[in-house]
Amino acid sequence: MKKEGGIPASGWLDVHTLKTLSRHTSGALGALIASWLIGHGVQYFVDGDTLVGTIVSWTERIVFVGVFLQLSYSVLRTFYFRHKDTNVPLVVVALSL
Amino acid sequence: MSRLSLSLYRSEFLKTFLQYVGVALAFVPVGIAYGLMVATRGERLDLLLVLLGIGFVTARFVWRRLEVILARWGVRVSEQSIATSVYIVTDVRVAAVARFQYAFLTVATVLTAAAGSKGSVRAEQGWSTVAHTRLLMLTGA
Repeated sequence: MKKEGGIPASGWLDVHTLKTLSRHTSGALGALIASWLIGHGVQYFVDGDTLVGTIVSWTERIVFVGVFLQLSYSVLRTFYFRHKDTNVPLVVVALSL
Repeated sequence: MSRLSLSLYRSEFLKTFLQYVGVALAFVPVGIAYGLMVATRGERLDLLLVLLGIGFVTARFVWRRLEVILARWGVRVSEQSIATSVYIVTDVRVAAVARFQYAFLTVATVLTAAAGSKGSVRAEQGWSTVAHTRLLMLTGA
């Protein structure tokens, strides 16, 4: 098995891919934490049953879903470009996630 | 302290974090629109999916724009490529005129930065490539 940077690189998850994934995961996690803090900070001052409270609540949920969508897209894109020249199908990569 | 801030400034983690914050902000109008819809007409899954699609397209646009903007923060040539960024110009016509010197410096800087990012020398994020490019102009006189 080929070694890269002291860490054994398997067939579908090498060190470079791991670094990219950790970068995206930490970035998304930071954005989620920031969104959660802002959303809950606003909701602290707003009654949840009012119009503004409903809007803030749904905005926070949709922002969460959006960040997760972007993270999923980035992860799949990373694996696609990692394996586009190999014979590993993208479906197998996606399922192995 | 300044080295720490420069390191943070160059961090790919920070740039990715800012890109995800941009994505989160891109979904805020979608969330406001759907929140208004829920408050007035109730929850609708089909509308939610459409709005999520619109938000995702917007987020992709924001992601790319932020990628370009963050890349324009600057590319600093690493120490290894600084050594190769010494140019000796023996043409008197180029070296004699100040405008030609500036033009040559600009071209050399741009070409050096491009070669650094494509070649074996890894380009680093920083403030200025001009400050790290040395131009030696010999007039031959």
